[in-house]
Amino acid sequence: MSGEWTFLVVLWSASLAVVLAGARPISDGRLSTWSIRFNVLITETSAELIRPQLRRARTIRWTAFVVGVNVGSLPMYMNVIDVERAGDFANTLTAQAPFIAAALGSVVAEIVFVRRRTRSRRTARLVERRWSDYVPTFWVRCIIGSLPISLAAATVATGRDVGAGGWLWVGPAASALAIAAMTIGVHVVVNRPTLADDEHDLRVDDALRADGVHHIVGAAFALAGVATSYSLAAAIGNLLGLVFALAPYAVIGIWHSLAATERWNVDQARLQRV
Amino acid sequence: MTAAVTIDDDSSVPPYEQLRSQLAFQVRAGHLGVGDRLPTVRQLAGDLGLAKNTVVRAYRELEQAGLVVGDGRRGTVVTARPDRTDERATLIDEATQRYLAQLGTLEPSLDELIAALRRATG
Repeated sequence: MSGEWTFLVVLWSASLAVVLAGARPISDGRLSTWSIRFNVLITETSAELIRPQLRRARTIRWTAFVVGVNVGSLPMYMNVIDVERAGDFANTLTAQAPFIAAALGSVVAEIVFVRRRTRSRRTARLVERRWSDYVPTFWVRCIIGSLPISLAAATVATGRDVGAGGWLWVGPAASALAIAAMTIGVHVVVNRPTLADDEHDLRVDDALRADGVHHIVGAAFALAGVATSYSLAAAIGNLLGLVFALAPYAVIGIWHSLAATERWNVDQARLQRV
Repeated sequence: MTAAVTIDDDSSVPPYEQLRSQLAFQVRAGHLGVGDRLPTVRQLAGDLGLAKNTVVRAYRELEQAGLVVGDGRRGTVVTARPDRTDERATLIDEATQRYLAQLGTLEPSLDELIAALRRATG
């Protein structure tokens, strides 16, 4: 078996493993960690609301990431299909495909959760929901700020003629895509109808929103961060440029922290706003 | 406990009136204070499963009654203080409206209501 085929077999095996891991049921331990993370008590009734949502969202997000990784591996696929054309697919866009897919996947995972209530009696809290109730504003500002930085860096790199041609503009385009994904995703989560009636379930509903927004902002930050790092590395081009070339690793760490571990209390955030 | 509103499709009272009367009650009873922001039309319509125009109509009538004010980007803000002078009568009126809304499709006559109240109060 050639090296290319070995790579593809490993890639497919890993892809299948990730998709299956994403689709596995939410364990009691995982639910308990989630409960502590978002400071919400989970009863048996609310667990029935949470488990399918977390599982479905995770399946979609992880599957999207796997699709992105496979798109990013297009050069290896082309090595098997038509080795002459493999180089055409080894570009900035395919390199960023996993992050683009992750950002879009996190948005889709929240869009599919939108449900309309069909009961004849429906209750709503008279509290205005805002995106800042669900995620720290700092990361949102970072994502928005990435666009002018990557634009300026791409402009400088184009002026220096670093030989990357039009691919230099993939950085700003990816930053713009990250902002768009974040805006649409957060809008969907904040405005989706609540599925709960009593005070406790409304807290669970808020925690689910916070979880979704954290995933969206985390993935958008990863995409914007990787895109900006690429643009800065191309613009600076010396040893400092190497630092920016390594920045994606830090960005991925922040993504994981935001999406999986950062604690958040919606009531506290809302109280500070009011 | 945060203020909340409930819409009952089985009630004979139109949804916009259910919403308007409950919001008015929340303001007059002091559950919503001056400067408190009401949810956006989109949010409340989504949560209650109503058309946006229904919420817009309820908000507009509250604005005409001087209880809230639509303030562009700031949304809809409560402006009226709790009505202490006529508070008791207002509370009774609003509670009666909710009571009637809860009776829903039964649509009792006035005599039946009076008889039920007499039985309830001994």
